[in-house]
Amino acid sequence: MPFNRYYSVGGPSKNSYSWFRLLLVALFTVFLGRLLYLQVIKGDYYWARAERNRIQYFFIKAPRGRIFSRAGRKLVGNQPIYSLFMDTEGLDSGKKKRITGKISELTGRSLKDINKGFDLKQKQPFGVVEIISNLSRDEIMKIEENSHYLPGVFIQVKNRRRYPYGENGAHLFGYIGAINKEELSTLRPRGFKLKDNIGKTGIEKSYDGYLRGNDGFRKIEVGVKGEHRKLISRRPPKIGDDIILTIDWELQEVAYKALGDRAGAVVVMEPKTGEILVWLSKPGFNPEDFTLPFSKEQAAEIFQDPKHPLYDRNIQGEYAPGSAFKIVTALAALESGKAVEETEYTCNGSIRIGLDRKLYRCWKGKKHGTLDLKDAIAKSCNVYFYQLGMDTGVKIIRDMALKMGFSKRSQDIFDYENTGQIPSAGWKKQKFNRIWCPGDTANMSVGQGYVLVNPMQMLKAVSAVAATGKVMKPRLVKMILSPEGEVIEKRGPAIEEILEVNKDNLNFIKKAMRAVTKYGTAQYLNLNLDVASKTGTAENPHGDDHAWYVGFAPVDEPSIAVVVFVENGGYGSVAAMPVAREIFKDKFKDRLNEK
Amino acid sequence: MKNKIERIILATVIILSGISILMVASSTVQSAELSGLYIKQIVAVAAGFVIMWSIRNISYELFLELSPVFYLVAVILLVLVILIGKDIYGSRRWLNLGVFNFQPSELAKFSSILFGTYLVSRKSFFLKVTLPFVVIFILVLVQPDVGTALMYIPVYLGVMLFSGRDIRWIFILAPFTLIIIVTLFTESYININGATLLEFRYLLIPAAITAAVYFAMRELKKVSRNIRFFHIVAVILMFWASWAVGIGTTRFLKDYQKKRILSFITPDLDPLGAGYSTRQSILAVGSGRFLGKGLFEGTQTQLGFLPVRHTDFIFAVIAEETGFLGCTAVLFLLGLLLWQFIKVIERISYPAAKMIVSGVFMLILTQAATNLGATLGLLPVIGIQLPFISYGGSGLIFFMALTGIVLNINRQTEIIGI
Repeated sequence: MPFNRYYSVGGPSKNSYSWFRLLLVALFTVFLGRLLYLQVIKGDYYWARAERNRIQYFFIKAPRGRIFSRAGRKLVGNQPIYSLFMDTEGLDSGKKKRITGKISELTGRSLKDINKGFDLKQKQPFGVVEIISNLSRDEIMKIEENSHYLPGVFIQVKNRRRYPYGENGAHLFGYIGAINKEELSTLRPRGFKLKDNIGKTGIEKSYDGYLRGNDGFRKIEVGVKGEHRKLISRRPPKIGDDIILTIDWELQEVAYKALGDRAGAVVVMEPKTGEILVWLSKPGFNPEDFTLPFSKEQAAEIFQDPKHPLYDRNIQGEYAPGSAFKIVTALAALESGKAVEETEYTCNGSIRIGLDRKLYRCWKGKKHGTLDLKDAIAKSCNVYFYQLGMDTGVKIIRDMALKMGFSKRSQDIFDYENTGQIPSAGWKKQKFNRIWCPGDTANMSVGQGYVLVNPMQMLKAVSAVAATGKVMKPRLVKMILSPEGEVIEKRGPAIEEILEVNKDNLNFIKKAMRAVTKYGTAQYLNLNLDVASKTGTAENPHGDDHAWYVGFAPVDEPSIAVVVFVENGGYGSVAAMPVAREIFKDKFKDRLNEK
Repeated sequence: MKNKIERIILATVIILSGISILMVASSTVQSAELSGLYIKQIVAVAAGFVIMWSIRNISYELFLELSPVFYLVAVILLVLVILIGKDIYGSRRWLNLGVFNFQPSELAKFSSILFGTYLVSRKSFFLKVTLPFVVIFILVLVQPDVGTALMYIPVYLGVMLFSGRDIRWIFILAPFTLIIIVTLFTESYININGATLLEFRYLLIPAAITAAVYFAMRELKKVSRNIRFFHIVAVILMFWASWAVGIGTTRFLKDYQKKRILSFITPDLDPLGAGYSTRQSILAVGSGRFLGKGLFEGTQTQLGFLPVRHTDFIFAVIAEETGFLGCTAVLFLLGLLLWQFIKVIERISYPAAKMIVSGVFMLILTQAATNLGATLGLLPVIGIQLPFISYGGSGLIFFMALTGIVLNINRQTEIIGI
């Protein structure tokens, strides 16, 4: 054999073979076990994850439903906004320069503005960049015509929420905004996604479920660079439902104009149906401001404005009702039998009350002389009511107030109502650790002191009087229509409760309120119409008096009840009543013109 | 019965080659630049079979005689590749030969097994046997191709195991190897994350090593009287040296390689995105489930989520498209092939032949294990082909050539009848 020399060196190490076998078997067992774990035990998990790797959902925003007035006037709608997008896939700097240059040339916008979108690229998935966010009709045409010079550039439509009436009705409609973390964590199961818009206040919030519709999507298979491979499936967006409000927009505009630049609130309701015709709060804000991305300064400006424009004074304001509250005191006295219509007290312009003999004045220091209940209401005599209230007692007044809906939510449409307060002796003891004094009762009788109400509560109480005890559920929505125009839901009048009050007493209050307009504090309303009124001038420790007007007309068959509140307006009969006058004038213009 | 081993080896190599062509086709069909590579793979398989069958019929001893020439050619080509090699992803591994690219480091695997055996058989000194491996190791390391360089270590062990020499010292090497690996990790971390405060480590670590070894040896001295001061100094110097090797190796690593090493320690944190390939590979493997998504249907593969899928991650393609069933079949075939190599080692008594087959066995086993480990997320990704399956002509042809030598050795044992 020629290979002999290879015999001589080396020798077998005995155990090597078994070591090799052991090594081989051990390694392959490990791999088989790992495969078993990955593919069989966790297979479904990884399969799902690989699916998520390849499938992307591209959502198609559903346009929100619109909001109409009762007469069908569009109050909130959508406007399509055309934005220019660019796919940066495979884009080198030379090509980018050429395309952005062309866009700049076509639109006349500066290159700097156009390049802004590229800085935000990280925020956009798959290298698609929004270059221009609101194209004009002219720009759209130019870009369409030159599309062959602009590879990877495309136009997309977004719907922007439009509120054509600006500040008017802002609190009623509310505004929409991007969903925040807390909202998302609770709403995710209901299909809400990051970056979705959601109603933040008003009808936009309360009826968000109807208005929002259902986003559509394109389910697309994508490659590793995010390139679209194929469309797997597609769901068209379902447009949101339209909402028909009970609002009488003509009347709302009258109120808006009449209130002017003053802060305050106007609410008008049909006492018989509970349909709200006017819902106005001032100062307002423009809900459209919220549809564009806010800068920090803008947000601070609106959220920290000392005038609180976001505040819906109808339900979030808490004010002393002043003399408007005398309706409640009078009704309490009559119901409890502590007084009758003929009960007389004398007004000498002031009265000393309590152990400390503190002087309580009538308004303007007037001397009303001896009055019965009707005249006391008509002339809004404080001294009369101090005495009446003290004779009736805090508990009875309070019970009547609660019965008429004070100190609790007046409506179930908006969940952010502040309910005000109706004090009691126990409440004062607990809160201030002070004994309830006769002076407190006197103050309460004329709607001062610790009594706080909101305009909507006031409206509900007045409407109850107008409807002779029938408390209707306040309604803002008449019906809900599908995008195709079919009626989805119709809301009819609903009785919330019947006041357990003697009808005669209610009719007496009506009569007294009629007298207010005839020869009392509201005599300058001066309309050829049967109007029941009550004015109020609420002392306000923080500034000028708040002005109130509550009333309804016609007295016999009331078709509207009105509450006007003017913040720091001064006298109710001067500041608030003229606003109501305009409303009555417009509402009954046919009848007034006839005569 | 006589040719059973040969028949099994041939059958497994043929089936694995078929799988290779199919999977290379599946993993490249979707890519404009890569589709068509399977044709090159078919050519390589054909050439490989011709070479394998030719070598089977030539005595392996001829190759042993020629091994110095092979080795010399390998070293020359390795030097050449560093000088004029084709630069791909910042490393020079290929020589452009016009029609195809040639990878000298694959030739080096082939020749180092033979040349190592040649030297042992010629009763060369231990250092003389080791030096050729070290030379190749360093030449491949500087390409840089750390993965392939590491593969020479098991080859060396495989050859030395049957050299009849005392190789217990290899196990003494273990603590030093550990120091090298730990240094590799920590240095990579410091390099990537830039912890400059740790500059004082150059003083601290040698000092710590010195103290630790000194006190350990002093304790040992109480037991054994043979330990001299000279021994203590020698051990300390060796520890210092292995620490220096760890730092030196890190200097050679590219940033992406350091990131890979780090992503292996903390794949979940993955601050560098280097764990991407491992993550995609595990997704591909797991999502194949029991039966797979079907050939040419794997979403991870076909949509390009899986990187370097025709070479490093071809097993993930198999796993995704043919599932647990297909994976088991491939593992079974590879295992069966290696099992035959062990049988060949068992049957022969020629030490030189044993050394060769053991070297081949260790090479294929380590390479398969390193590749599968990376694909299954058990080992860091160092860019090693799966023998007989991954795309790559040079690798495939030299694996076939080595198999040819094993077949020849097997044939000789049967002719001689030992």
